[in-house]
Amino acid sequence: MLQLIFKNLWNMRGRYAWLFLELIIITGITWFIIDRTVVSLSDKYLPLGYDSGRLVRVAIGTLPTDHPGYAQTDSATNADNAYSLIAKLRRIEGVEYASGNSDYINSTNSINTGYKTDSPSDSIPKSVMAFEYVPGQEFFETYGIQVVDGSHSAEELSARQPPPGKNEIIITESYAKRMWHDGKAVGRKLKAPHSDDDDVSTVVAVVTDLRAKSYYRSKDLVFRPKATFIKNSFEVIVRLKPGTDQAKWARELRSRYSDLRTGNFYVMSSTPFDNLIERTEYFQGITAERNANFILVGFFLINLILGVTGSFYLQTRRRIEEMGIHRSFGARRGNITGILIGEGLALTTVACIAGNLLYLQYALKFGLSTGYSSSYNNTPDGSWVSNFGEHFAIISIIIYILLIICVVIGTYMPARSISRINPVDALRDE
Amino acid sequence: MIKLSKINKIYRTATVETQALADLDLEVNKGEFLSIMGPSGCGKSTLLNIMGLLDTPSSGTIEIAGRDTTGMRDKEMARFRNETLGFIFQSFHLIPTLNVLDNVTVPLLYRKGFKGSKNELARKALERVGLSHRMSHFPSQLSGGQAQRVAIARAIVGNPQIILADEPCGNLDSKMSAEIMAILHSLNKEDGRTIVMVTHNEAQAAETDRTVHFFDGRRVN
Repeated sequence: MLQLIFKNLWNMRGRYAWLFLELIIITGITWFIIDRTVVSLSDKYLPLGYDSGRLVRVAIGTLPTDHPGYAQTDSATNADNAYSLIAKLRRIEGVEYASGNSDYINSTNSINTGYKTDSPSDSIPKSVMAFEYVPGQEFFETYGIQVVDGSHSAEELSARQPPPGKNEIIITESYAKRMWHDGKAVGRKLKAPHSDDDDVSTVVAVVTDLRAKSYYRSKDLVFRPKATFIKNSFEVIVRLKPGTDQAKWARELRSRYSDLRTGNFYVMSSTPFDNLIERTEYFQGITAERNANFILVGFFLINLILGVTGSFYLQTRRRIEEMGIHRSFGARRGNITGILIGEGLALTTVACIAGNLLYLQYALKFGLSTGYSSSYNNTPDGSWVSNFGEHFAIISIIIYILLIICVVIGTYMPARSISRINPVDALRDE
Repeated sequence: MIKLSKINKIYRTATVETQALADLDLEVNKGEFLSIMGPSGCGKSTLLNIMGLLDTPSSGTIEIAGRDTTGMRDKEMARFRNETLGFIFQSFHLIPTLNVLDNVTVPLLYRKGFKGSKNELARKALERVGLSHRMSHFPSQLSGGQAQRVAIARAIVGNPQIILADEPCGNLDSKMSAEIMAILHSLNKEDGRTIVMVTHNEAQAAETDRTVHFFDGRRVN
């Protein structure tokens, strides 16, 4: 049967040539459309590296000076009031930890920086995003970030105050491996770019990988301690105990806003962290880009199915008499369907391989999709997306499967109807 | 070898009902060369198609080689066709995209449990019809007589007991017709195959063991 399929294809090469070319072109176009969508979808479902499902962001503001409740206070009282408000939050039922800061992970703020090792041969800084936290604010345990080198517990790390005049940083496992191949970073020095020799930071711990933004693939992140977070407004990230409903807790907190007011500080809003991520993606245009990709893919797939299916449908309908001959000499209905679908599959397989090889030439020159446009998505991150070979193979297979589905739909329907025609009626078809 | 009982075939459209065969009884003996004659449209080809299980009767029973074919499922019918029957059509019905050798091997593709060399058997069948030198040609490169000989080779390659030929010389000149008839007689006499042939040609019919005449879907002798 296989022999017959290949003989048919070879002997009908003139008739199938344009269909073959069409499939090669379609393979190339499918690459453009599918690659970016699959990468963006894959990025969306990469683990964040922290427990967003158990976090609630509580935004704290200061009363305006003309508010009747506003009281003139000095900075020390302000700090006491801020700590007191955070303490009140910690005492609310369902709260495990609460961490005050002027920013939160995945906010729209970014500190883009880079470091190089203190090795004299290392002259090019490796880009990374930095996040600043305030020691003593249960930062690592609130987000659920684990220490991987065993040097500290998360609690010890959050509480650790750098010695005066010394710079200390904490880096993710991924960045540690990028800086030093053995990944052993604790105690080693990192230098900020363009800095003098004294401006070095000591790595005090390596923590589990996490993504600074939900739409970045990179897990390269450094944490730097800072002195204070208390300004006119600040953030408290609350970690809920296991089993506590994030949305319900945030909603119920609204009824306690007045109780939580401390000095001039008051709670402005409480938002489940997952909603916050969605909102950030929306305002950054990620959601729109992703939806546009999906719409494009949907539109393309409909056209692909109609086009490929239609072409194969018409080709297959021309084979009625031939299939009547096969039926007259003992072919079963299943044989007829098998021959016609088999030819479609074989033709698509060869065309898809050719199309993929042609696209490979383009990809070697211009690269494959990196998802959301950012320099951080171009850094090697160990994922399949940044591994050219894996990336090319995975998308090639997806495209092959898509084309095969279209071709099977396109050939199965006419093949099935041809196989059911009475042999004598099929033989009369000219 | 073939026994048809009370065969009726009615073609129905929305407005017209045509009775192609009416209450037909016919028996063909093993090793017999039977010819069927009659004017165009009298139901000869319909009868041959029904006999060859290419078409189904509206009513009646068909027994071939001792098996009642009524109610046979597609799979069984396909296998039965493949093993027991060989067809020769007036318009040859060769597959234009396959060469002569591949056309002849078609029945062997569907032979269950076939283990031998398909090409070897096809070569022998082509030698039998004197066409072994044209194996790699395509149907479009053959004359009518050569095409019909390929069709005969295809009909006999699977060694069926019965050959059904629908006006095998209908599209051929007298010289080629004589060649084809000689091959058919050799298949009947030397191999003992049962042959049922539809023809318009009195002389060709006269060469066969028995002739059955048809008129308006009915047997008249």
